[in-house]
Amino acid sequence: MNDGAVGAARVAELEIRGLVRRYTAQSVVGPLSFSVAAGEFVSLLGPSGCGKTTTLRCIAGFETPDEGGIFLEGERIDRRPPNRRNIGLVFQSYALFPHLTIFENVAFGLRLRRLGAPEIRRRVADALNLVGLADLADRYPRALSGGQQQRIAIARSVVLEPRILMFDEPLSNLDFKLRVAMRNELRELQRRLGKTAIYVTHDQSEALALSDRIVVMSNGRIEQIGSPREVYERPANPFVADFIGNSNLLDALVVAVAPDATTVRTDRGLTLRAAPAARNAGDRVVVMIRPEHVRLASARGAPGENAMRVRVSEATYLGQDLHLRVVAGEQGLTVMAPASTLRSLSVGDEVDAAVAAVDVLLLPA
Amino acid sequence: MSRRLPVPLTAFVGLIYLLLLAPLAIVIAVSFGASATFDFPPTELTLKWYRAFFANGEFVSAFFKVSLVLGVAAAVTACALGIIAAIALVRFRFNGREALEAFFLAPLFIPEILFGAALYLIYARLGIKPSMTSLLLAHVVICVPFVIRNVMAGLIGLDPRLEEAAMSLGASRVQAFVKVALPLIRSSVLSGFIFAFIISFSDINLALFIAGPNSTTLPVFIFNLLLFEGDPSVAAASTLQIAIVGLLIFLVQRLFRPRTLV
Amino acid sequence: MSAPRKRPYGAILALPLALYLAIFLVVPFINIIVLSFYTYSPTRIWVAEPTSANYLALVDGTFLTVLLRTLRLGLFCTVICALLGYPLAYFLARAERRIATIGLFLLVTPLMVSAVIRTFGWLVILGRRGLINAALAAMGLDRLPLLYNETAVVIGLVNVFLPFMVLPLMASIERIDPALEEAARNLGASFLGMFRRVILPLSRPGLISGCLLVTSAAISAFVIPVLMGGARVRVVGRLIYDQLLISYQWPSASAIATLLVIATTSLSFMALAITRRASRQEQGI
Repeated sequence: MNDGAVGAARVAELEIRGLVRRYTAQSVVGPLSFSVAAGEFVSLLGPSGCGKTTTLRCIAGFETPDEGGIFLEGERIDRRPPNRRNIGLVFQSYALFPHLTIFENVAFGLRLRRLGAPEIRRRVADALNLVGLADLADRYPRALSGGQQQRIAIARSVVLEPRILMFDEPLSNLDFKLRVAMRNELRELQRRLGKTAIYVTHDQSEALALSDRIVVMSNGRIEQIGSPREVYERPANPFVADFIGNSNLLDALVVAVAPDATTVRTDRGLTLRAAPAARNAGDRVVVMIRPEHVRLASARGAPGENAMRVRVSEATYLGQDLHLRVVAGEQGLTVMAPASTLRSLSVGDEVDAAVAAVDVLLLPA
Repeated sequence: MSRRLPVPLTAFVGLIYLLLLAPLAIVIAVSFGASATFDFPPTELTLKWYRAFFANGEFVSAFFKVSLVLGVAAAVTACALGIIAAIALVRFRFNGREALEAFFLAPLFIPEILFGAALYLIYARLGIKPSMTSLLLAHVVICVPFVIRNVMAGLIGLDPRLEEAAMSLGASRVQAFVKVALPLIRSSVLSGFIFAFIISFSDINLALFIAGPNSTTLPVFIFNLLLFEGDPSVAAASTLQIAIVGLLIFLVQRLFRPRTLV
Repeated sequence: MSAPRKRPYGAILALPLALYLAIFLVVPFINIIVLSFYTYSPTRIWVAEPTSANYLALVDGTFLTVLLRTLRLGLFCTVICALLGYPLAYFLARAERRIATIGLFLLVTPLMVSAVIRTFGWLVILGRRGLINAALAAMGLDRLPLLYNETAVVIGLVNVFLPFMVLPLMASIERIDPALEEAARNLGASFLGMFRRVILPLSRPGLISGCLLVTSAAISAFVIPVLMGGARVRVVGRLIYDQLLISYQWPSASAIATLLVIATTSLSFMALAITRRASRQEQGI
């Protein structure tokens, strides 16, 4: 498990140790272990059913782990009831109280702490200003748009100055353009407040755009933890490679190991040189190549290693890119190329292609 | 996602259920007890009150000849009137539809003794003597709302595209309804029927006003015995009623999830 | 048939029932209202001479005492049903499916068993030789007269009418998004705090509906007060029964019945209107 720690000096704000949650004999989440440093933005990323929401709910206190512990700044919190953890939670459906005004919604937690009226007014005003919705204080949630409701939900949690902010797929109810805009705002907000954030999503582009580190999960287990760049460029296994971005995943056999390169041959007969790797001849591996790393020749010849001659079998025009299936001998490959450089390719054409050895990754089979 | 309810809440709820169900449990227990005064808890178990019940001609008549027959007749009539009314309310739009629906469901909200009193007076004014028929006519009124509610819920839950598919295959509108919709609402009709039966079977308020000497229903019989200190065979009769009603409700829950009960 | 027909011919299907109810529901009630204005006659029970004497006669001590008693009992019953009903309704709305189904079964079955039988059980519990007194006697204490007083009647009323409170309340609570409860807890509320600030305000329509239904049923109860209260606790329902079947004072009974009809119908319409408005409000959210 790749921890991707950025400097040992950062203090762990939140630590999960050996968390296990058993639903049935077949459906188990965990054991999970990871830590989040103060001020970090960490995403829990994975398909539905991978356990990310379970983990979130355990941290929030709405579910109790069967094994393991949750530690906030060193204190064990997994036995505490959910209203005593001081962890902010922004719900997927925002969960604004329909019978209270915006002001009262944001003031809810403050009133529970029995703060004085002037103090409550001040803090609510600050929180509303932070999210840019100060003039909506007297409205009711149903009068607000989705994006506005979400900002109020954030204000409501932030006003209590929690140690951690958690987000449960907050953008999934918004349409695409709004999602991108809110995404940036969210990141801005988190940076400005300097709060540690845990963000649950199934959308890998969101995770890549927002996070300092991503925890990729599937089937109740952690597949990889790393920075966006790490999980994208150095996926630990075929699942991560496939879930984040697109990839060609080819079953292959290690044919030769040399100090400067490892040679593999795919089951379909394509021989490739990969960067030096700690492998032995005869090992089964999964070769991963990102479609955008397969460079097709235009007018000039293609530089780089792993040169091959391919035939185009499918071509889909996507506006900015051209999505192609090509065949090298018997081996099919998916290629993504900018449409502007390849105006004249069509099905049946033969063209030169190349992949740099450093872009050929060997993943465990 | 699991959501645990606080233990004190569950405990309190358990207590309330205990209070709600204790009376029934006690009646059942008394029916198996040996003493002739309603002692509880019973010291020895016996079936003699059940034997006494079945040996008592009046009891048996009240149960089988009156209450059961009445219940079935009321349920059948209520279904006949109610199913077509439900179809009209769900499948057609006309002026006053909502008012008509409220009118049909009104008996749910009218206290039964008032209805009983009203019927008693009109029957007397028109010279209609109390009989099973006069009681049947009354029961239908209070049973129909249950049929309508259940059948309406079933019809509303039907995907209209199923009948559209039938029509695209050549069926007329009526044929599509009969061949596709009706079979699919079978469980609603059945649960409506069962509820109508139970309402008639358990009714006490109407029967007190309208039943005559030849049409004493079981609940009225039990009521009179309780007032005039009968013996625990009345507990046996009551237990039989509880068992029948419980069984029928269990059946309905299996068939259909009726949220539209009261 | 995706859109209902615009043509009204379907209304024909509703005609049989409409006619049936017109004859067996509307006419009897019109008759009662008419009869309430007729003059009482000892020999022929009533003569068709209009008078308001029946109503005026109600403004006297005996009837008012009975009326006040009835209203008092109804009020107590409603309050206790609300206190007991809320936890039960919340439980049924939030418990997992299997438990909720069993709970609903255990609630509905007594509801469908005749009120006589349900009250019978309490007679055995509170009677002279019943459960409580037997326990007292076993401990060497005196037997207590627990029946035939107002408390016993209230117990009997609550026992029978509690489901009338629980069912609308449960429906109301089910419509509250569980995420709201979690949000409240996450913001620091204890369970009771969450209940007070989120569940209570948002389930108010269900509560009002339940209260109106229970009150309406409780003030027109007859069998339960007779069995549990005996001759000492006379309520309006008992008055109607006595005057109809025993003393044949039909005009007077009609007057009382008419008043009771007006009261209960108003309560029921209010309950219906509140439920309709609540569900329409929700769709607007």
